[in-house]
Formats: sequence, C-alpha cells, structure tokens
Amino acid sequence: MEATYNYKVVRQFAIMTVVWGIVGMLVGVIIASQLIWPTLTESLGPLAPYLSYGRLRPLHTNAVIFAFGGCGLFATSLYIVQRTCQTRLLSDGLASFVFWGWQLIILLAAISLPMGYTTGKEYAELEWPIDLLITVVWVAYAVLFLGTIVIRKTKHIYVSNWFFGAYILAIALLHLVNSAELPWALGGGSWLKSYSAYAGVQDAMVQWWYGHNAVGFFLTVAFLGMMYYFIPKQAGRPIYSYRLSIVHFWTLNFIYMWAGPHHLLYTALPDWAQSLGMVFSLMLLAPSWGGMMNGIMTLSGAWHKLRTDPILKFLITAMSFYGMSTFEGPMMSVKTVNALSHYTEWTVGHVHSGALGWVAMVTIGSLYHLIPRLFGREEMHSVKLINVHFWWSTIGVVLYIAALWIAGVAQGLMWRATNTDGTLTYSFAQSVAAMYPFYTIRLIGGTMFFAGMLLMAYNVWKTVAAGKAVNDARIPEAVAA
Amino acid sequence: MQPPEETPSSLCTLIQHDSPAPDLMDILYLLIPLSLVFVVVIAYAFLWAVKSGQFEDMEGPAHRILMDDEPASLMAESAAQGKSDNNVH
Repeated sequence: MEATYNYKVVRQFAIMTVVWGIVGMLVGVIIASQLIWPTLTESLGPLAPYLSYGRLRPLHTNAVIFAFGGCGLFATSLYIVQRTCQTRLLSDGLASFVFWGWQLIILLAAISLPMGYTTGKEYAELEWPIDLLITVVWVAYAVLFLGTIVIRKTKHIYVSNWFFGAYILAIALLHLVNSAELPWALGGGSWLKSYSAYAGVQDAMVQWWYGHNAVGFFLTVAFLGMMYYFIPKQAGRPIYSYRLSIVHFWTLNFIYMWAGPHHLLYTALPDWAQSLGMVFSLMLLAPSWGGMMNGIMTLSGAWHKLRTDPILKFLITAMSFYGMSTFEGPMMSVKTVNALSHYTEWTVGHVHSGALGWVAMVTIGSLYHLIPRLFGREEMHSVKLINVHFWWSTIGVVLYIAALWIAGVAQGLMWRATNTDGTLTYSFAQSVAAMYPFYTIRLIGGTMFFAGMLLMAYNVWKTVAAGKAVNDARIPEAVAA
Repeated sequence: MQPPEETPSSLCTLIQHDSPAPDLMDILYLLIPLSLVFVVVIAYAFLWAVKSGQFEDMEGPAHRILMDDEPASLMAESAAQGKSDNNVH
C-alpha cells in the first residue's frame, strides 16, 4: 500500500477554524455594542448575568486566540510538517486525541467563562481543571509534531517547522509557569476556584512575562511559520531569501523572551526591569521588519499577481499589518509614548491591528489556499467572493484601528490635561463620553470583519459540499533518504 | 458570641513595619533563569542545526517546497536532489 498523508486531522481543524472564528468575532461584536449601549443585554432577564461585558470579554479573547487562532495553527502546522518532511504524522490516534481534546477545552471555556469562573489572569482565565487538560493536550501535540519531524524523510527541516517547534516549546513553558495555582478546595472552598501561586507585583510580572510571550510565540512566531509556507506556495515562487528567514527565526527567539516588562511601565516593577523590557522591545523591530520584507519581497518581479489573486492579497496585506504593528509595538514600549498610550483605547487598537490585520488575515489566506486541496478541488467555490471578503476585512480593520488611534490619543490627552491652577480639566466621565463616536466606528469596522467571516463560511460550505475529502494524498518516495 | 479577638492596638501592630522589607522582586530569580534556560535550549538547537548541516544549502529548501505536488515535478526534484548530492561542499 502506498504511503499517504493524514489529511483528516488537518480538515477537522481547518473547518473548526472557520466555525470558531465566527463565534469569537460575534462575541467581539456583542461586547463592542455593549460599550455603546451598556444596557444592551440587561433586558434578557435570567440570561443577563451570563452575557455581561466582564464575562463575555474573556470569552471573546479566548475564542479568537485559542479557538480560532489555535485551530488555524493546528491545521496548518500538521499539514506543513507532513508535506515538508514528506512523511505521515507520527500517530493517527494522537492526532485524533489532539483534535477532540482541544475542542473539549474550547467547549469548557465557552461554558465556564460566562458562568463567571475565572482566574482573573488575562489570556489565562481558564480555571485549574481546564489548565490541566490543556497541559495534557499540549504535550500530546508536542509529541505528535516533534515526533513527526524526527521520523522525517528529508534531511533538511524547512524553516516553518522551526517556527512551529519554538512556539510549541515556548507555550508549554509559559503555560506551566503562569498557571501555577492552588485550588481553593485545599482550603475547604470551591473545587472550581483557584488562586495564583504568586502575589502582588510578582504575579503581575509573571502574568506579563506570560502575556507578552503568548503574543510573541502564539500570535507571532507560530503564524510566521504559516506565512513562510503559504506565501511561497500561493505565489508559486520561493521565499525572497531563505537565509533571511533563518536569521529572522533565531533573532526573534533570542530577543523575544525579555520584552515582557513593557506591559508594566510606570508600575511597582523596578525601574531597571522596565528599562530592560523597553530596550529589548526596540531591538525586536529589526528581526520583525526583516521578516516582513522577506514575505512581501517574495512577490518581487511578480507583483501583477496581486491584481488577480485575492488569496495573495490576504497574505501580503497580512504582512503589511505585521510590519505596521511590529513598528507600533516597540514605539508604544518607549516610556514617554507609553505614558500617553497606556490604559487607553490605543492599546486595544494596536492589539487588533495585529490580531485582525496580521493573524486573522494570514490565517484566512492560508485556509483559502488549503481547503480546496483538502477536498479535491482546484480552487475555492468562488474566487470572486474571496475578493469581496478581502475588501470587507481590509476596510473593517482600517476603520477599527483608525477609530481607536484617535480615541486612545484623545483619552490620553484628556486624562493628563490640567488647568492653570493644577486641577484636572476633564472628569473621567467626560473622557468616557468622548469615546461614543469612535466606539461606533469601531463597531462598524468589527462588524464588517465579522460579516467577511460569514462570506467565508458560505464559500467553504459550497467548496466542501461539491468536493470530496482527500485521503489518498500520496507521499513522494523519490527523495526518501 | 465571642468578643472580637483583635483590639485596635493589635491591629496597629499588624501594619507596623518593624521587620525589614522583603525583597519585593524575588520573582526575577525565577523568571530570568527560566529565560536563560530557554536561551540555552535554543542555542543548543542552533548549534545542532549548524553541525548537522541544516544550513549548508540556503537555496534548495526554498524551491523544494514548491515541487511536491505532481509526479512530474517530483522527478525534477529528485534530479535536483541528486545534483546537490554530487556537489558535496
């Protein structure tokens, strides 16, 4: 029997990426509406507490990062590792376990967060039983991915696999250290509540060491692995400089871990630690922009493809947003800029320029490339719809981040404005009231991005319905070592 | 009911700072070594990659991922592979 690739787990994760993308972004649209109409969900009677902003907000972040982004990464990493190592996954059973385990985690999050169970740690809100489950599934994923690299049939390990490998190891370390917690049951309390092993500023430092590196390794390094495979594949050209991609990888890894304190500027953290975080953040600009150039310049000499290929538009626009937000990030970590931007909507805008512009767009582009191949089709059901999706998303992101730039700077300036006698010019409530028009524009932008995901779901549905699941993708034997 | 155990004076002793202030950032003794361990791990991985010849060919791998779809291109790939095997650096 001829050896084949395991496309089943890739297909499962790819489809769930679209599903969770819609769920996560819908929750985002709901909480963006609540900022404009604070009493929006209060008339829902017994349901109201479960839909309050404070409970839905962590549901939104967990759903878009770990459900949408996570499934996208599982799908693409498990596809890329097979195709570039020219071998089937280490174990079909393990692959199945990773898929169903991750879906169970998402389901538990979707139940426990609206019920109010939370550790209160941003991007690590899930309570300790779920944390344990995450650990088990993540170890299984690490064994599956790294084990597949070990049994590879090619001598060289393609650069994407390095990016995915680093992300898997770093997330394991971050999760274990940050989620160290004591169940309250040990003190005779609830089985579903725990307290962090760290206290006060120590806890804040661990939390933002985690938070920053979760953004660094989950939302950056891993999606770069995706980029380094799908941009060359979709463009039909090799990456602009393979050497640069290797340099990009190693420099990012050596520098990223140290930039966490920039989330805690002007806090109880010692001044030297704050400055250390700022300096390393500025250094990150170099590898980030090297990587951005590398992705975009892959089209050098073939720019005309951008006119006709909406998938490439998604991927290249994602690189542009990557470049923009990796410029904005180091700039915001400069103490004088941070004094204005911290705690304002600017930060939220920055996160979304990365999350929607970079992470979501590179994922969407990659899925449009991947899904037809998984279902035996030449291309998606409608390329025209991909183009419409592209424009809706792009206009949506631009509206979103431009509105929050203005909102954030306005907020920062209003908070620091003083009268000649030293009293504050504006009350806090005045700065809140000033946000209404910008919150409205943000809601419009976010809704456009969400609507684009619905278009994608329709397009995927039609593609899948008329296609046939590919289970016999042959592994080439020509280069077997 | 028992009378409250703590009198105002004992409350005052609670907030007195007569013991030396603890080192407030001892968490860094965990985080900095952890980050150093991570750096050592990636440095080790890097050295392994260099020694095992992962970086010998900085052109071929970029092209190879484009040639894994059809049998026809596979043949081109195996030809390229054979060629690079002959030109040992």
